[in-house]
Amino acid sequence: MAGDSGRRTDRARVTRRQFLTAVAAVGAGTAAARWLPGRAAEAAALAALRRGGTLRIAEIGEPLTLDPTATTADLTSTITLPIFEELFAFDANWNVRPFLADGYTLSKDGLRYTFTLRKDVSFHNGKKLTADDVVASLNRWGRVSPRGPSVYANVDAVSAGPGTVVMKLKAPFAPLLAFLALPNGAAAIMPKEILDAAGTQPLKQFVGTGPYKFVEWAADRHVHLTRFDQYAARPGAASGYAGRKDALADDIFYYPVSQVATRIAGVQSGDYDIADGINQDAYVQLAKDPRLDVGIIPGSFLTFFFNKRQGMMVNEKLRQAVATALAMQPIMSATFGNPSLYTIDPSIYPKGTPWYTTAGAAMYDVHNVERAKQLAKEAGYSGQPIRWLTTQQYDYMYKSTVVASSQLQAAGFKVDMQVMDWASVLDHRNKPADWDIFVTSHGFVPDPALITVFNAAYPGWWETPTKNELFKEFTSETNQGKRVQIWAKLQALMYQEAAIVRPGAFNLLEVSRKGLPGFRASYWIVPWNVQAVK
Amino acid sequence: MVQDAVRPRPVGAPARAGSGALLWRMIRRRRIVGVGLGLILAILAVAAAAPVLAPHDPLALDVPARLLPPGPGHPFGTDEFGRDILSRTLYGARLSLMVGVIVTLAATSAGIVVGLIAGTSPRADRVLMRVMDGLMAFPDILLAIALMASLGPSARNVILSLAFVYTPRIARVVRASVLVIASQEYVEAARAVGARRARILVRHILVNSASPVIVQATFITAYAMLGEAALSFLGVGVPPQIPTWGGIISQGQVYLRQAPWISIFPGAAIILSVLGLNLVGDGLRDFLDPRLRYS
Amino acid sequence: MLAYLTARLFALLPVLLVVAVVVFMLVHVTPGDPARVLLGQDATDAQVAALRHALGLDRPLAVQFVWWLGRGLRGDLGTSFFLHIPVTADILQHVGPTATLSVLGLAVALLIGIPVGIVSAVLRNSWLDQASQALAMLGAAVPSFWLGLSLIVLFAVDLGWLPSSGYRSPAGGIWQSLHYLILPALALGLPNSSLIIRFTRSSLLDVLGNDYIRTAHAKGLSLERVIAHHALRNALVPILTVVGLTFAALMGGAVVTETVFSLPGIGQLVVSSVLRRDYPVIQGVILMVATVYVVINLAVDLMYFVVDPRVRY
Repeated sequence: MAGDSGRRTDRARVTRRQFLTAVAAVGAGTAAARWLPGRAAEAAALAALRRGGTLRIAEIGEPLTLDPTATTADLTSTITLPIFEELFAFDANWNVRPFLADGYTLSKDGLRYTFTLRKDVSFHNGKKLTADDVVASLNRWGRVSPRGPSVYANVDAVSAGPGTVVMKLKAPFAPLLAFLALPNGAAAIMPKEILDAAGTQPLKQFVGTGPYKFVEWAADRHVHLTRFDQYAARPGAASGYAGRKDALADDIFYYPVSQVATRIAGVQSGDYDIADGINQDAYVQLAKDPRLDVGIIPGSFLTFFFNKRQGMMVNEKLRQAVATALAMQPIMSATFGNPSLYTIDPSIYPKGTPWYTTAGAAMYDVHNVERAKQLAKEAGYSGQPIRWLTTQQYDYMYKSTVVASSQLQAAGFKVDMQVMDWASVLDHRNKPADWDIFVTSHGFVPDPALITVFNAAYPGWWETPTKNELFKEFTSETNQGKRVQIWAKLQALMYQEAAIVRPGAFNLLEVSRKGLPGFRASYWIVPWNVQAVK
Repeated sequence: MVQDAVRPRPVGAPARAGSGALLWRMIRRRRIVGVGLGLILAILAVAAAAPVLAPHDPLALDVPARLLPPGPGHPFGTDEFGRDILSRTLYGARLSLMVGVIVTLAATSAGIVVGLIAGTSPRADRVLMRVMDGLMAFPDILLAIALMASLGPSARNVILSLAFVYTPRIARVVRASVLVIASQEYVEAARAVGARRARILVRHILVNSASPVIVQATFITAYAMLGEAALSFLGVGVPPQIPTWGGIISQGQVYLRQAPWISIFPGAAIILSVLGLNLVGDGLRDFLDPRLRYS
Repeated sequence: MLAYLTARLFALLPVLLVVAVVVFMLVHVTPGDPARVLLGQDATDAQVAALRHALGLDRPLAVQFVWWLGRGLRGDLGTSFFLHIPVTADILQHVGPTATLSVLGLAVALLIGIPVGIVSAVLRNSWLDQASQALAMLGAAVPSFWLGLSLIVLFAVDLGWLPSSGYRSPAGGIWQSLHYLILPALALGLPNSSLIIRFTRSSLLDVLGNDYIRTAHAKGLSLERVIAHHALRNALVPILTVVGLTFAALMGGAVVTETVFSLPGIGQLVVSSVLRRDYPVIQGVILMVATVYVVINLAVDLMYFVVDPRVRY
């Protein structure tokens, strides 16, 4: 649609809006900036790197799918990061930058986004990127992605114009661009023909616009990507997941290596260049190892989700009882080991970020067994076993469950710890009849609206009217200062209604071979602008 | 290790002697068997006395005391949750031994029944022995893993799977015994005197196959303990909350560099138990059937 | 010989049939509906029923078995639930490391077992003999995964001589491949060498006590020639039996060893398939391994002809 009315409205100043978003996430940037040298120096360093070779990355296991839209699994996001791109991307300070979009305009009432697309972008199959592809991709995201539907509930229409895509919302939605930039549950842009052919079936062809194209997925052996020679690099310095992406290595291999000791040993012996998912306990030893660089990625937090749709945990008082019984220090200590790698703090966002708040702190880390027993009694708890889903495939999940269960047993609760494989956990947690608590972790997200707890469709199903209203207020408010205030109320509500238990925040570890040229550790591994050694 | 050779007592040999005297004679002849027996008894005693001997509750977490090397208060050190390895190893003995013993009893009973039927009925024999051969065509662990996949992880299912896997060994031994005995003259003689065929067979067969069955059973206990350890190590055996030797070693794998003691002590326990069983089994076999002795 | 071979092959068939039945039943013993597992929890009842019909799951078990067997004989073992590739292809991809490891493990077991067994037999009752017997007993009691972990701690972590895990295909360089396979082969072969030691020793002793040996010795042949030419040939028959048994133990042991050393072989395939509830793969692997074992036993039997001309069936 031509979108005439859009053209007459004020051209909202993109730079200011971006600046505001930057301010919103600047604190996160201080952590990120730890490992970011000056831009000029980096550009020069980049120019000096040579092309060629193979980059070998050891991952925590075999991905369930290579469709980045259909899942929030970080493993999938990491492996597909070089293949697909989105309209926007986050830079190293978690600012939203236009990526496949050249820029955008927003109508004054905040309801109408017009994305202008770049003209030089091709897909891996040679086809040029058009607005139809973007519309098809966005619609699929709105249907299939764990994150999309909640956003699309607020979307009126999405339409293609000449070189533009227009998205009409029903109510203002401040975090929209953040949703469109996140590589997890991603609004990845793919060719319309491929999406039409796939329909409701899982994706079989992986064609994107990124610097590397998909070659082969040899199950249990590797995922092989190779340089896309016709890649249209975005001008502008590389930063985080945005900016210029140079495919220096000819090929990238992701290996599923389920044992962490094997991943570490592989980097030490030179078989791998980068290894993901390193256990925090190993930090002290690894930091001393002259063969390795250890990357520390802050901002993740541990979560125990309650089933608020069905079962005993629908009862808010019982949830509060469980939360009150738990002591965070032993849980975090046993799970992550090294005290420098975790923090016990009620704020979901770390100090230094604008989202930092201690709202709700009174209900965090109470560890009062008597009070917990009292609350349980009031809730009518009579010894039914609490079904807790966990897995040994993610070490931290199992460990935190063991400690928490033990504490709960000591407080008079009965816990039925169900240890299964991760795939089974994912399967069961979708069924409200099957569980009461499951454990997972959450990565850093620049906008709190992206946190899965608040998504009513995400397992846990937090759907109280108070929360829904407050969350709607949060997403439709465009003034940053007001948003921060509402966020404090949201965090307090999370503790008040005991939607989840959040024992604390922790840092993720990656290891890479010492001095790997161009490599910066990040949450989802960035393999472009990195020089291969072999 | 399949100890297939079965040669029942020759005609005329005494059907039984006082078992105590037998045992003593055996131990005196080969002292190494005494060592094996001593090991087994020691481990049984320790397992039985675990609640008394264990300095700590094997399930009790003590997070500030995590990953401590062996020392005062924790002779075997602690694991990543601060749980005492000595206590867990002691309690692990109970489960490992329990699995070993119950699997042996189950496999032996089932094997005797199958072997008796196969040996006495030629038609059943053809079918049953094919089935037994078929089951023995799988490597033990693989069959057990596949069974656990179907049944789900639990101590009960581990016992069922392993019993299923080891039954054919006993069945074959009993069957061979039956076939040989049934042709012996004294059976004819007994029948001539009028004793009922079934009673004769059962009595003589059971008595005469007792020795190879006992020998096999001893080895099966050893295999069952190793089998449970392997299944728990792979993550398809007993659920990880219950301390078993294989499970403790499995959880200690991540800490191999920082805390090797987690894996060392349960491993040593397995070795000692299996060694004891093998020594006794060997001794029994050498003693009860002189023709199998080689030195 | 041909008659013997044919007879043996025919005898194999019922065994393989039993194997097939057991493998088939393994899956159908499981609680839960494979069709629902395939489609996921969002599927409607109608969709599940349709898939059940398409897969033939609504037919009587016997019919399903015949179909499955028929497809299996043609090489079609179904499709992996998890990876969506044919099971046969999946298995073939993973066979290489397991085969290489098993052969190397057998080599280790034989290279250690036979010489030690011979020495023990010849130097009977000496301290060397006692020591090797004791070691053999100990070796049989050590779980191979524990041995593997200990070897890793010693050689990879402390000394740093060998890699702690991983696999390199022989196609990419035989020496590098061996470099990664030494520790796994040791972990697998050492416990299995004890049986070979004891069998070699005992059967050699048996033979050495025979008259014709003493005759040869009296005729002036040196001990070495006696052993090499006469004794060993006769002792080889029971040793061959043990080799066949050892190979079965090796295939089982490989499962655990592959997990410890992260080798992408059949063992790791089985374990991850079990964890993922990927039944077609589990069935396919068990069937394949059992068949291989049966065939190997047949090969061992046939080797008796080569080794001992007195053997006739």
